Amino acid sequence: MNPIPSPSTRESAERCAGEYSLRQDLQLNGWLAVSAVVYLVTLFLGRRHPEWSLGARASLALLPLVPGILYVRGYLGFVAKLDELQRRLQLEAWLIAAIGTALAGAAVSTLGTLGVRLDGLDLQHGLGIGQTFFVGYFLGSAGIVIARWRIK
Amino acid sequence: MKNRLKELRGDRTWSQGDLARELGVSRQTVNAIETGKYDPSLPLAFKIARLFRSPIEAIFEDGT
Repeated sequence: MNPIPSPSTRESAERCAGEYSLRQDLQLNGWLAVSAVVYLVTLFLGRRHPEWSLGARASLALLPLVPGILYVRGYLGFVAKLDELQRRLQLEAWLIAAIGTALAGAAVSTLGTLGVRLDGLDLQHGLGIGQTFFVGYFLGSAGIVIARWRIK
Repeated sequence: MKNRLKELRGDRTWSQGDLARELGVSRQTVNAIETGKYDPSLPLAFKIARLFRSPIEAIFEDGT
């Protein structure tokens, strides 16, 4: 019978393939934070310059989608490099974020329709782009912590 | 699903990191499989079986 091969002698500190990296994950989720910041800036500019043309204001309002798209692009590349377990954990976290954000949006929209107002927040038309990204970022991060805790 | 991964790894005095590198997965994945918190995919199970030169059913046992 052939002997079982010994494991490679690379340093044990070397990262295994498909290893999860919290730093990389946070860097990636940073795109969502950038989206939120861009959203606040566009909100500020939009309110200060109502005289701008509709096209200019529409472009400004949709600007936060750019870092959002970069996030999705980076996320797909990030997930592709993970191993099967880490990919499943990311999927669970993503599901928590997506479902949670959808529920939060529906709840806020319903409250807005009923006339409920929260101080300092314009929620009459549901969650805005920036608020959606913020809720998604928060729930996604919480989802990663929960998913990783479950397999510990 | 129960498995003998920890026992087989121990017989060869491999660390979880050693096995993870051989399988091309993360150490957390090896740990989760060993503790029964995660059942590997069929391709990974075959890879494990090939590495230890044992049939899959000699490593993994259906606990149901």
